[in-house]
Amino acid sequence: MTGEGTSLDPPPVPKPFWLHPLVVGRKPRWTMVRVAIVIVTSLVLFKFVLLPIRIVGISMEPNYPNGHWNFINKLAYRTAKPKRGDVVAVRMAGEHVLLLKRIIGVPGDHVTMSRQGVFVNGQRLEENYVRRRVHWSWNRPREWKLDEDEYLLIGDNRSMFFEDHYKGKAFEFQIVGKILF
Amino acid sequence: MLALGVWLLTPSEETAIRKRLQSLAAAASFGPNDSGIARLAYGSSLRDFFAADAELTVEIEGRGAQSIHGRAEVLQFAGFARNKLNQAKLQLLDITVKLREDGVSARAYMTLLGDLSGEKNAISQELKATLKKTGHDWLITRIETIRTLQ
Repeated sequence: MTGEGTSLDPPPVPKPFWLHPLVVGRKPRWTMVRVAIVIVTSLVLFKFVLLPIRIVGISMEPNYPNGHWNFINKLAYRTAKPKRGDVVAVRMAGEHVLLLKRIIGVPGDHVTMSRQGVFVNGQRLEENYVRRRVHWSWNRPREWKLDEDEYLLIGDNRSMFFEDHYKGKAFEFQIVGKILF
Repeated sequence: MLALGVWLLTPSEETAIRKRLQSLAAAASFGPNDSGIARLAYGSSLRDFFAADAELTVEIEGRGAQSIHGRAEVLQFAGFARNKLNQAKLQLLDITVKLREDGVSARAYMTLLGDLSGEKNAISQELKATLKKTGHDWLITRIETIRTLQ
């Protein structure tokens, strides 16, 4: 004998509100695990591999304009040395504020800057990345002799006043990584 | 348990110095809408951070190094900068503190990040500060700029 509404029937399962599965999924416990994995992966990725940066300043214009976002690849120099032409980030007291500059001299180079341009070991350096160039008005050429582990860095925007343009030598340990794009 | 609690709640000297320097950056910052009283009190609000014989050495690219000796002159310089600028938002980041063996003197290395009015370029500058403990407070005896690129 069966009848409707007897006490042995299981209670009707209420249909979940449509937003509920959309937000936490059909299996909330697994959703939490997936969210935790995404958070941990993001933290590791953006702390140890790709450091997000916001460019502040005009020294790398027009290639890297003021206010734009980019990433620093911190693994770029794990297996290779920095090369001439690379755009790199240099640490200051830590990694919250970095200098973004281009390498124009590598260890062992003798670099000269004059009104005629940049010369590395007596050869003129072709700088296709320099779009804004003016003749910096200095009285005598500037020279740098780079020792082991030393790199010469300068910005792409040569239309700035020479004195306002921050440039010079950095040690390899100061280089945090290479810009991603 | 009580000892553990006291130990946990008492900041280390390094933490105290870090907080002190961050307080200095906050006190040295000002906005465009600050009141006249705030402008007048600017110098005195910074006074407590510096020792009487404080020294400030600033090396500017292409312009050489300039030094200011004595707290009065340091505060006068700060007041001059305050009047010249409309606003300044200063932050001290990546502060590393090295406490000396005597326990009453220390060095701190940090990056100053400054957002100044009318400047397209934000200021970023590595700094080194020397501090000494007087009573319960850490006072700055010297601040100098460090060149990131040589």
